[in-house]
Amino acid sequence: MSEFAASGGALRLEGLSKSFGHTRAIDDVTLDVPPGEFVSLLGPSGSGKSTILMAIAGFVALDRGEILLDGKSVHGLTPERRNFGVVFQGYALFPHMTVAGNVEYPLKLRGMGKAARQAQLERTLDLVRLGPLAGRYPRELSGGQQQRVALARALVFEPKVILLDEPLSALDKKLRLDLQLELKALHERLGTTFVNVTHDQEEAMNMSDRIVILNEGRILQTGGPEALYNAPNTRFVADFLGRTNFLEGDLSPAGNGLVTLRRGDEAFDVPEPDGGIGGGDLAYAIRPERISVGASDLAGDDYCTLRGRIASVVFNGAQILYRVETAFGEVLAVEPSYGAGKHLLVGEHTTVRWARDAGALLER
Amino acid sequence: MNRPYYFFVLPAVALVALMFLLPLGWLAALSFGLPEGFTLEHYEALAGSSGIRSMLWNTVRLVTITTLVSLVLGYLVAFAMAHLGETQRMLLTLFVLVPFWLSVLARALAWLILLRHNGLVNEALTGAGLIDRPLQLVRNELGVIIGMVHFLIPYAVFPLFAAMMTVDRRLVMAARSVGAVPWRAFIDVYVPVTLPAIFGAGVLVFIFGLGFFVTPAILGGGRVVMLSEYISVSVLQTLRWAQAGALSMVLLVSVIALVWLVARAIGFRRLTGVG
Repeated sequence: MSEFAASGGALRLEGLSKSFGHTRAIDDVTLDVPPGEFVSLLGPSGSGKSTILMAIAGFVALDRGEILLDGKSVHGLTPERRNFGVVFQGYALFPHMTVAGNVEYPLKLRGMGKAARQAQLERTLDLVRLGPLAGRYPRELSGGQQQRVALARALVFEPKVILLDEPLSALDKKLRLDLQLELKALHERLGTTFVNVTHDQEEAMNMSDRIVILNEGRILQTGGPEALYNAPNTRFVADFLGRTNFLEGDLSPAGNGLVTLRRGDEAFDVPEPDGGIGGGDLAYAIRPERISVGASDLAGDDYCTLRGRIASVVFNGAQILYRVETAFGEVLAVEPSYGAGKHLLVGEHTTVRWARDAGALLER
Repeated sequence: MNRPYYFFVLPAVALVALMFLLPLGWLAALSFGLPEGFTLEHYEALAGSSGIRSMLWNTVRLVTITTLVSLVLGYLVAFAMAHLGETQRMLLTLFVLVPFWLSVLARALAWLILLRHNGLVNEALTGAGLIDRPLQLVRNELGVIIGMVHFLIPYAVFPLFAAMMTVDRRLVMAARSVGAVPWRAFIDVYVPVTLPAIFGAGVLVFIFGLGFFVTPAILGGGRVVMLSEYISVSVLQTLRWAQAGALSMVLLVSVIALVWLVARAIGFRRLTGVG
């Protein structure tokens, strides 16, 4: 399919740990990345995601743990011998070389002959649609073009794994979306294993086969974008990936696998969590887009209902965002802006409803 | 806009005009035979005199060697400074700066004490049995170069250090990630990226070197005569002021040409994408 001979490598991280002083930057991280997967390490700044990537690339010495490529440890290999393609944050293009010079440099280092080098250069530049810009210097390129040069330089020697460190963070929002789709298409075409580091949940969701959520150096949850979004296992994940309402109150068993969440004179029944309600600091997590405002046609035992008052209405084009004051505090609800009939107004009394199993009780 | 403030700089301007520009203009006038009448004979005499030609050539040659040595040593020091920890960097900066603050005369004499026949260096080497006879380290070109390099290294170190601190560390990492061993990344990426600073520091050192006067006089022992010393002798001892004026103009024009080159180097810097 592709003119590139590259095939993905299987990457395995085994119990990686790294401390800087008293700070644990990476804390016992184990992860299997099958060949050809696009995996994103997603977390806030300081979550250790970049340190993990730089450890894979060979720039950070680990305290403990093993990194294996296709079953073979890369331990003790210097960065230049690991043969991973790295796209650095800010791209780190060589300013004194043209686009062609930048992309060709890895091939020169490998002692490739001139003709073969030229052919591979052209192939790679075509792949990222940079052919006409081959003679330009990096400073003469737009951010998006620089990003593609960095990608081409990382791809040109056909590495088995590409490591991307916040590859799109320097770009504006619209361009970022275009390049996300481009990067994903490129990944599908090449079949190379991609490990991407980002703090942008949307970017991670748009591109990845699988997302690894990190916080304080630890993996919190791993899964496909949909699985993670629909079934976060902690409040941190629910909050970090998309927006979530957390409703807190007194819990009591209600039978039939349900528990009652009560606050003041308002209460609703929700499914009992696997671990029961005995221990832990539980809150009911419900996504804003699962909540309907003022919909009287949703009724019955399977629905949860709260009374409230509209505190604010924001129209953002595709959606309408309502903030509704309830006994459980402010609840955010997002409705599609089309076909909503009349918009509710600030101060109106209304109800918010959602299907009981649309949310779940999560531990902190 | 703030007219009263212009008066604040007047004393300084007056001082420079009176003490510097006026004598300089007068010297220039002398070199063209003024006020008696305009003539280029003093410049023709410069070009005609083989002694002066060889002195000029010696000056350029010695300053070039000095500049190259200062750049190489300065680059190493600056590189160490840019990549060491905070404490070591402070110490190193101090080691570069302390001699920099000492008088040129004191430094030249100190080198003389170290390098002369019965100086510390020769004593140590003969004492250790490494050489039979003392080496001729001073009162020759070698001595002049040692003294000048020592004086000029800070002028090379600081611009280079400033440039190195702005080099994105990820550039070298990127080179290594695509397969360059450390020295290769250094040669292929680090040095070219700092090239404008090397060029700028080189011109700076060269200009300062051209004006050297005390160091060659003391460490050259009268055997190595350079341009500035020659001018000084012409003014103070042989009283050939017109000739001194002509030589000064040659020096001044060369320096202005070099400064222009530095200005061009800024453009050069843009060309290479740094800064």
